[in-house]
Amino acid sequence: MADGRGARLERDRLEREFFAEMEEIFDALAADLRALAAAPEKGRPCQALINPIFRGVHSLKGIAGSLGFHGLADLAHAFEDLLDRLRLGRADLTRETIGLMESSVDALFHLARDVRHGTSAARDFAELRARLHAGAAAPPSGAGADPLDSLALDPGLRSSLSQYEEGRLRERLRAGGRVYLARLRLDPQRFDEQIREVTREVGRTLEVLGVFPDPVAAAPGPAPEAVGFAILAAGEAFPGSRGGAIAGVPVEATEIGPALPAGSEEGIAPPAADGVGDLHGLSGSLRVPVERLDEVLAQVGDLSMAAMALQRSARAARDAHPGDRALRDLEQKIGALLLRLRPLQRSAVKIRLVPLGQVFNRLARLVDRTARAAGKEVDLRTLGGEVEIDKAVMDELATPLMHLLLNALDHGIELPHKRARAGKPARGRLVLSAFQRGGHALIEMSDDGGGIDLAAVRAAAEAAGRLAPGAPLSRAEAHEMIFAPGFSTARTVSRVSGRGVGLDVARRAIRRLKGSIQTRSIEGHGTTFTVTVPVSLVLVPALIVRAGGQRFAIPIGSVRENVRLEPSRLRRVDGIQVYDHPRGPLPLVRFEDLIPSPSDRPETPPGGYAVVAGPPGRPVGIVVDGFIGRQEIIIKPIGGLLEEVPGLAGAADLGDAVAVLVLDPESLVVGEPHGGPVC
Amino acid sequence: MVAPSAETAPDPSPPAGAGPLLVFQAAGQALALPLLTVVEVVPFRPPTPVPWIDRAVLGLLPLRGRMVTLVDLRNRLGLPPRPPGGRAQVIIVETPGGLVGLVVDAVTRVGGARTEAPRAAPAALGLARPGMCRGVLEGAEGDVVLLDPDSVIRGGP
Repeated sequence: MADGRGARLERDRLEREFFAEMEEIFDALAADLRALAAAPEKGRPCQALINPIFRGVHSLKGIAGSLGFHGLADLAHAFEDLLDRLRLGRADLTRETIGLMESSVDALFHLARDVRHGTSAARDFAELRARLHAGAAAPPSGAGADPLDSLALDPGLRSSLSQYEEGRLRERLRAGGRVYLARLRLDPQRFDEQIREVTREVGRTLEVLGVFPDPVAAAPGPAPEAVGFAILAAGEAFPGSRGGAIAGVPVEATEIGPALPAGSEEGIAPPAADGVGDLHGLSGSLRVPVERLDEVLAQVGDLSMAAMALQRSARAARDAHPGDRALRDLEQKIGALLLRLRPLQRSAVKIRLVPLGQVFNRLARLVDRTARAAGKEVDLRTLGGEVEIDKAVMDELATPLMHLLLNALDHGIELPHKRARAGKPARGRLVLSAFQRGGHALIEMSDDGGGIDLAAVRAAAEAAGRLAPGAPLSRAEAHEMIFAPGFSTARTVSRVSGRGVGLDVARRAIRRLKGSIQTRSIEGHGTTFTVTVPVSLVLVPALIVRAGGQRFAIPIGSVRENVRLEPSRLRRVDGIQVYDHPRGPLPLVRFEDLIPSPSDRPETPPGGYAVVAGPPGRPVGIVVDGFIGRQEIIIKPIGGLLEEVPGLAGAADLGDAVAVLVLDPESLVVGEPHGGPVC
Repeated sequence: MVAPSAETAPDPSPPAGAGPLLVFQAAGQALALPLLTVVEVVPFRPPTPVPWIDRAVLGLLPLRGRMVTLVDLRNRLGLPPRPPGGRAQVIIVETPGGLVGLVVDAVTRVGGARTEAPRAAPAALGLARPGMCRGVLEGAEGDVVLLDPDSVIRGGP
């Protein structure tokens, strides 16, 4: 054991990072639930909307379970059961079910916050758990519509309500409570103290749901220096007269909610007064500065692009007037400016890089506990922790690596007696290693376990109806199948894994990072997962090419060679164009076939060039009409509508206000058009 | 106080009919979006097409350092395609997944509606995709169809 204080600090840091992750999951869950609530009511749940919620709750369960937060893990487990039934169509998705889901997310959030702050407020979610276990719908609410719609609530204020606050408000309305909005005018010198006093006073008779800055209240009135706040509260009657003063502060309260006939008591006990201030603060403040850094980096990049465009113009002007000394001087000065901008840009990128060891350490802490829970003994070795990747990439990488790790511990490494029988040491070995290749980091997770059991994959696939009995199943197909959503060879669902979501979650997360995952497995000897992710998603040296009538950027790190295509070596296999490269057949991507284009585009002559790129063992040839040059580009994210398009890392503006698509050969899929889940 | 987070980010769908509207035209149809959801309106420029995507997504356009995904509103609503060469405008909307630009024929005005609660859109309006409408609002200069920003952007409920 390390010295107690160091271990505690380390544990604190580890937990902080996991809480940050949980917070992201909660944010996503809130958005997913909102999307679900907005979807029209149908008998059958909409898979595409349930699945992300299911995955989110599953990840929460994994994190909570491995950190030893059993209350949280158990509730997530019960919630997951309901979601599982919903996504399998075994339960109806009604308003009540959505309400139950909202309450569950709120309760999980609550528990997470309690754990985070070390407050073990004895919250009893027995009733909620019972409702989840029964999978039964909540008692039908008065109308099918969202009770929040019946409130005279300013849309700006409503949109600033957190999911939790909305949930509390709904609960209160369903229970027949009245809702009040109290506007306060406070002394700027001591407003925080005054808010505390008024909140405490109001909290004696009502549940305070939230406190918001309220510029409206500050505008009129005798004291021009006043600060405005609004308190949203629910319960029976507002204390005192609604137009009077509370704790010496002028308060103007209006009832904005309907007074429905009183219903049953609410299911979840109202939170204590601590519920006001820190609903969002699960993690530290690290994330915000990183986002600001992003902004700075983007601005530095845009500045460089603008300067490069300026340089091109200056060069053109000088070429037009070769004898003009002033123009030559101008061009030189622009060149000097660019020279100074470049290190600035590099520094901005570098600040974001963090050693992978950070995430390795987090994972290492999981190994002991998880292995013990599974009755196994495992040693973890890590190599290459000094390889640096972008902070944003690392944050996103933690969850998928955790799922791979849990998978290796649960399914890969065998129980000690089984290992002894196979002539292996009782302690399993897990090696986590990283190295850099060009603009990518490769992370390998190897176990010396039983390997992917082809017979078990076949049995599970046949049982799930994914494979006809007796149909051929190649090793590559089996290795692909383990990533399918809902696929599992486990017979029991444990607190750590076994529902068949972990690997699906892992691959999706890695694809979102424009990375890829490869599997090598030898039965009886172990499995290696290789995760390839870009080191930085921001500033990348790239090859600019012309293909299919438009420009594309290909990150240099993934370019292997350029070949001149000989027409005699082109052929078609299953609708895919393949080039007979001396080193083996090379599938080709031809953008002119993929992009709907104006008919006046000139026909590309057969032949041309291909840029060979992509991961080793699975290269692709990108057919190009010509090469434009090499430059450092800033990859801008492309929005949610295009997020899941494989093969695209983003887009860049090279200084002429036209978007240039940045290809990601590592995730480029040849011939197979991307079909996302359609609701 | 409530810290800003993804959860409290501007909600693209405030209550129907509330607040001022941005009114615009597509294929002769008067349409509207809640003004609160709109970031700005820019003239249409041809975007960079993106492979592997649905026809209604026209491509990408840079706007002040960010990438905007252009969505053809006519296509989304099942209206006839825009004749080539004509002018068009792009309504920029901030979404949790980044900036989205809705390509419309022309933005006509900003204004309120006489009625706060939209009535159901009659089938006679000829919109092939009624699911993307929140209903019809009575405006000072005739009725406008209030669109649901979320489903118009995503192309489904």
